[in-house]
Amino acid sequence: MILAVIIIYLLAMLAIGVISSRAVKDEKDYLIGGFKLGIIPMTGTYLATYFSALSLLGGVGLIYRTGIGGSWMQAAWALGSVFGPIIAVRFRRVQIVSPSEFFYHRYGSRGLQAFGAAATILYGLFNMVVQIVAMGLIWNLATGRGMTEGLIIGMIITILYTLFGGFIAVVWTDTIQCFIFIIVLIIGVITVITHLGGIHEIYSAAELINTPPEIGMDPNESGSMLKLLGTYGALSLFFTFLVQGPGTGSRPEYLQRMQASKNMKTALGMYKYAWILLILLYLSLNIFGVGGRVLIPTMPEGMSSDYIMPFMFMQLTPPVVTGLLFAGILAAAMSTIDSGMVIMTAAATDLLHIFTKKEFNSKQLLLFTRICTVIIGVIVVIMAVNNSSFITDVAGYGFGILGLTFFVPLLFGLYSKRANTVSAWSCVICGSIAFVIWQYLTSAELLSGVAASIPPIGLAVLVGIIVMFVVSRFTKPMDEKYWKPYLTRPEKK
Amino acid sequence: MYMKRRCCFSKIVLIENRGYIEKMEVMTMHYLMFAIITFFCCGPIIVSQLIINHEKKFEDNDGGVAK
Repeated sequence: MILAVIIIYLLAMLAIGVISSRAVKDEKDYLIGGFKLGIIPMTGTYLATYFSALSLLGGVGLIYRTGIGGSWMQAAWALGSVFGPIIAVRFRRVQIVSPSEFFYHRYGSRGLQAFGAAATILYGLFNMVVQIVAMGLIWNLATGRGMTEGLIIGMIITILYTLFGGFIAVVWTDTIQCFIFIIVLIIGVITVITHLGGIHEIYSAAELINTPPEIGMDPNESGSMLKLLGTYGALSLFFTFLVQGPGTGSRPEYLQRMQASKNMKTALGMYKYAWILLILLYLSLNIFGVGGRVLIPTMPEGMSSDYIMPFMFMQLTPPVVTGLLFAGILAAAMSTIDSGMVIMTAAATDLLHIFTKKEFNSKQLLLFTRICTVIIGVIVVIMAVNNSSFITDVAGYGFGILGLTFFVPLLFGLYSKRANTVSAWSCVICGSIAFVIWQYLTSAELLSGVAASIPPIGLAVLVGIIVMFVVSRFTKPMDEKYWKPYLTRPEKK
Repeated sequence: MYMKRRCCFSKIVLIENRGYIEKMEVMTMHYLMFAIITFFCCGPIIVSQLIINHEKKFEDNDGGVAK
């Protein structure tokens, strides 16, 4: 039954891709939906892309292990998302297909644009491999079949519907996927609360827990599940906000969605409606994590605490609901993967323009984007199957550098007339150097005390902000043709 | 005898109070965490609504997208 529900879900996604393909006429439709998408698909796709399999499994797992304090991570993401509408209101003033094009329009630098596109691709690889592995593990848990088989099947379906319908297919499948995991979470929370006799009973029982979350881990102290700060200290909480916050608001997937919205009201409204739903989802995750710990104080041997939610569903709900949950988790992974493929394809198209310096017609570009989607899909599957630590490490650096590139020069560029090419390059170079050095020192365990708790990306963002501010104060501002489209409201049409 | 009973009484009151405080703490902590999650998640909602209201003042309802 579980397998049947998953197969029906996968075929439905494929059907949406085929239907969406009718709306794809050129590369702009394929990469950004022709700049004409409304509030329902935009809210759905923003929420689905935001809410990945990692949020769903890892978020609940963290709360299961550490208690209510695990929710600080979600608070940090929420704080970072405040930057979303702040960026959207100015970022949309110039219409672009690929987010890294911004660096050309605002800073007049093809080099910075290429750097942004390359960082997008590296970050995309890192993000997608993690999601694909999660997809394989869920398949294995749901069906008892091989993980590789699951990730290949899931990726074939994801590549196919993205290939047919591009961004339009991504947006509509995301909306359906978002609907599925909201329904599943509502059913799940009601099941857990009724099974344990009420919310207060769940949290009262959690206070007494003193077992290890997984076999081989240290046991929790009694009462630690209800510590407000959980395992965080003041400094680590500050850096969690600094690291998780900024990147969350300015990731290229969200920049792409700001542009794809049919008007400004839609671009801003998607944040409003998605976050209303996210409040409910995050509260559900907290109840799931703590409720799961009360029901199953220690995970069975060999099972990670990240799988508490599917494990709990298998124990408590009928197979159809469990099947829907697995479809929901696959949905969360697939919605992040498909967005990653489209954003990487857009970045690759940017690199094509920069390095060939040729004009291509719409037909050639559409063919190029579709070929890119397939190539990217195949590369990430190979990476996920081989689990290459080297590539994952390199991609991890891309993740950090992207967070820096798409946050500091982006915000300064949108809100400061003084931001110029020299300051943007200085920020990216100094921040990247700080990131690489600190990442090396951290992974080699050469740091101790307070320094050890400073995450590399947190340090890189701080260095980037200081360097960008100082250099832009002491160098010549750019010609107004670069900053005026972003910093001043265009005349009425 | 009186002192002994008084001590016992105080102890019982103390234990009862402690139980009450602990119960309050349990209730306070998880509802406080719910309030924190809600508070932070309201950030993007409030900011986007404020910007929407600000944009309404201008008649170019697309926020002036240069095409």
